[in-house]
Amino acid sequence: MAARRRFCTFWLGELYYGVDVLRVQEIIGHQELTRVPLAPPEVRGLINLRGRIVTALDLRRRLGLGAAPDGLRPKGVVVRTDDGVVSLLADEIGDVLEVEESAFERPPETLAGEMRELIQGAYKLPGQLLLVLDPDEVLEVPAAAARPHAGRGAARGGAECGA
Amino acid sequence: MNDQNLVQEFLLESHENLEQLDRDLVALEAAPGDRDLLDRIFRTVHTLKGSCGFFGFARLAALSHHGEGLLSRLREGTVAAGPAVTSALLALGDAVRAVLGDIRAGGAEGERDHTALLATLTALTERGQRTEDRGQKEEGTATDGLSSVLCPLSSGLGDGLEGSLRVDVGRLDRLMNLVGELVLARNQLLQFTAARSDPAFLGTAQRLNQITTELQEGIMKTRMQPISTLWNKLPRVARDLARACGKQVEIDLAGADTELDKAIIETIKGPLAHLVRNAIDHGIEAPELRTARGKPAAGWLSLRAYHEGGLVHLEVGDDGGGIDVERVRRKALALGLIAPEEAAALDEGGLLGLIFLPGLSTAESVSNVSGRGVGMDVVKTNIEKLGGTVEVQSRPGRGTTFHVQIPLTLAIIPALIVTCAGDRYAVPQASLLELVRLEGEQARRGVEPMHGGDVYRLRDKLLPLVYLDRQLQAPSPQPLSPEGRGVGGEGGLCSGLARCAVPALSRGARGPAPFPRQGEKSHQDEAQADDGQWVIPESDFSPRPGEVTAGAGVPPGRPGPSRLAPAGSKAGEGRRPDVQIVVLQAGDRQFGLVVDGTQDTEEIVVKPLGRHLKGVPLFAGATILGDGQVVLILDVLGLARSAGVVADASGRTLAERAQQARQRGSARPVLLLAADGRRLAVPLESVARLEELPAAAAERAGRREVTQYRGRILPLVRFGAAPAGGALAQMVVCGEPGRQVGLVVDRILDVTEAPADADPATREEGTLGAAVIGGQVTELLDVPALARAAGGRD
Repeated sequence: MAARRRFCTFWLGELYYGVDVLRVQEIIGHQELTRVPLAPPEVRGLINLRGRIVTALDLRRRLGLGAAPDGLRPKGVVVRTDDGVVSLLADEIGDVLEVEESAFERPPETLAGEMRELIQGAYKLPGQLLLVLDPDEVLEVPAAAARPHAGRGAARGGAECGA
Repeated sequence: MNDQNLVQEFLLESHENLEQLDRDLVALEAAPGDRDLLDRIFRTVHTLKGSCGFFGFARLAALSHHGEGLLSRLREGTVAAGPAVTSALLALGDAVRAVLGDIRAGGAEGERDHTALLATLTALTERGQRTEDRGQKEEGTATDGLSSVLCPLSSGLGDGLEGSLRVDVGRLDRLMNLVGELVLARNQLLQFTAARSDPAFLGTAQRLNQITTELQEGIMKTRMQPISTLWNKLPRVARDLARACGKQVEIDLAGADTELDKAIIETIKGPLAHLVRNAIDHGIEAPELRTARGKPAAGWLSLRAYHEGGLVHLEVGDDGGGIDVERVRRKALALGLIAPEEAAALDEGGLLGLIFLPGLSTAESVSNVSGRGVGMDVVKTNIEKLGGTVEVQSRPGRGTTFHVQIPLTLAIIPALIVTCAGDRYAVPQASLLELVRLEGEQARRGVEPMHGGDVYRLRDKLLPLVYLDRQLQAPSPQPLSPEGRGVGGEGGLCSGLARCAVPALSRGARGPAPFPRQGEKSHQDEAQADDGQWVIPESDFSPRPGEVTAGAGVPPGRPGPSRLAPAGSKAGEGRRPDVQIVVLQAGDRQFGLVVDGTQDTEEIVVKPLGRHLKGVPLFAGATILGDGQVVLILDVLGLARSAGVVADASGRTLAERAQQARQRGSARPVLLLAADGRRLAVPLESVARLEELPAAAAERAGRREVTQYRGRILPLVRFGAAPAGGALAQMVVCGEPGRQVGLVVDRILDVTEAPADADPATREEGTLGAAVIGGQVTELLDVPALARAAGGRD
């Protein structure tokens, strides 16, 4: 019997993406965001998810897509990570899809640089490609601008020492 | 909490760790070169060893010590990971699990025979050892005996907690989440009330509101524990440890009633134990060496805990040998942890930071206590997991201080909500001194430019101004993009409640300011006299129970009253109609934070920021306001640093900072003394003990007068003549531990408060000058200087 995998799917513009359903905690509707000055541009802001403060990442920006059309109210795909959950902002949410492993193909060589790491490959669905995102890679957002007073004799936040 | 509970916790935790160990070991076999994996395995075993030592489980400690030895070889690369190694380590995990089972069943380690396993582990370890220096191994095993003396727990901890009940923390967490949902539902309900006029409905809604608030607070408070629950064990631990290392240690605990969230206490337990172990094992020198260096034979270990700026601060300091940064540099280079060019570029602070790298230890020998090079990275990892930071300051020969800051994850702190560029931010009230509002002409004249920065004359002192919008590089007021607030969504709906949330400004309001910072009260009257200013004493902002969460808050995106100026306008140019200055205390400095507006105060729950925002400066965390919106909490010290108001604190030791605080600090409690017609005052914080000194107890050593005090020689400074005929004098033991001095006086008068500044013109040797305290001229003693002079050494 052919292996099957289940994906939580969503759209960014015309592109159709999927994240392994086991990594997804829930789907949330449009949420009010609190923006975070000085944060990496991929960080869209913070949301209140039932009393928890969750970082919302701008998937469009993370994947190098243009800004969302005006009036669009992105939804959140809340994925689990080792340290809490993160909401990935998507234009529209699709169904949970079960796909045949045989329809999978690695990304082509033409896929540029970092995208090759973000996108594990594609499932060739009829009339549509389902691009599989690696949530861990997606969450590896480049660090925020260096602290104004970096290089203190302290280990603050990230892996700063030794750098 | 008693021994049994601690053991239960240990068992639970160890079982989880063992499961992780199994997974990691198997993964390691598949990827033998995975350094992160190896580090994690090492940490797991190391943690296990530490815990076993802590509980006095010698058998487990021996097992894990052997495992650790083998893992060390793996990390060094002198033994290659392979099936034999993995099997042995897995067998170790099984053996530990079996012993844990025995402990669970019978409370003791049982009599299982592990000689075969230990032999295997040793054989594997030595396979790599043969090529190595033989001497090291002996050191590694010679100290095994340590485990038996490591810290059997003192019994009877926390007995007498009658009427209390143990509750599973997971259950509290679930309750907490439910309450969070209830709050949101309540908020929505309250929004509907705006459109209703049915009094019965409104009454019920109000009641629900009140109950929800109380429930929320109640649940949060159930999670708080004083840090003494953790510290109670430390004196014993330190003593046993010191004895095992052949050292003498005096332990000094301050702030034991500082409350922390239960979860934080759990997480910092390990790191704190590591720091204490390190301080005793590496930091504090052996008594002979100390004596030779002119220090008291007994080392000093200080633990301090306090709340500041919405954070819990923990300090672990010793007066030992300090960290030799050159050795750190050499070691890091030798281990290949940094590249030579990196090493060359690092300053002292950067080099100190290297001790947090996995694998780095400057200890020459490996012992059961410490020296494997794990520990500091575990400390750092665990603290960062809480969203905290750890800094180290060290002076060769003077000692080392670790400063840990942890957000109060679930602790509740009062905070002032300010607005900037259309967003709201929370400022921890602990850092807040006062609010100054300049209107119209005042705003234009009051803010004066200096090179590179604006200042404001606050009661004739120049207060540097920091513009929040510039610090945050706020590009523009909150754009009304689809994402924008106030366009539908929850935010826009609560506008009906906005009016009640705007704080009532009262012109030069008077009244008792229940502010903890001393010396502010006296300023209130002056403030009133100041022309045209609006000075709002803190009391006006005190949260009013029941009102705070009543949907409080201006609708986001529409920050408050008309006085809001567009961001980016420069105050100094007078285009901004009003200037709102929030006067803040950052370390030992004050500065004025210019914001667009201020709103109410709220009791906020500090939550750490996710890892994507770890590197973002200026924020201490985030919180959810009563209206359900997330706001960022400003890191006042970070702001001050970023704006250059305070210099970088690195490199200064605890003692120096304390000294600086003493010299610059505001009003502080002092101990008043009388001697030979003089009135003297000693800062209370520097006073260790008050003793009676019989005339016969004062002896001479050379030209100095000394006494025997707690097995040491304490230099004396006598004020006034020696009392006649065997009368008792009063002795005030004060000064930094390790450099204490006994002040001999006639009488101890009182504890009172002294103004911050003594008149420098009256300064003499050993004093900071004279000041008027309680209507009489009193000399403020300079304790460090006296101690230096009396001790005759630095």
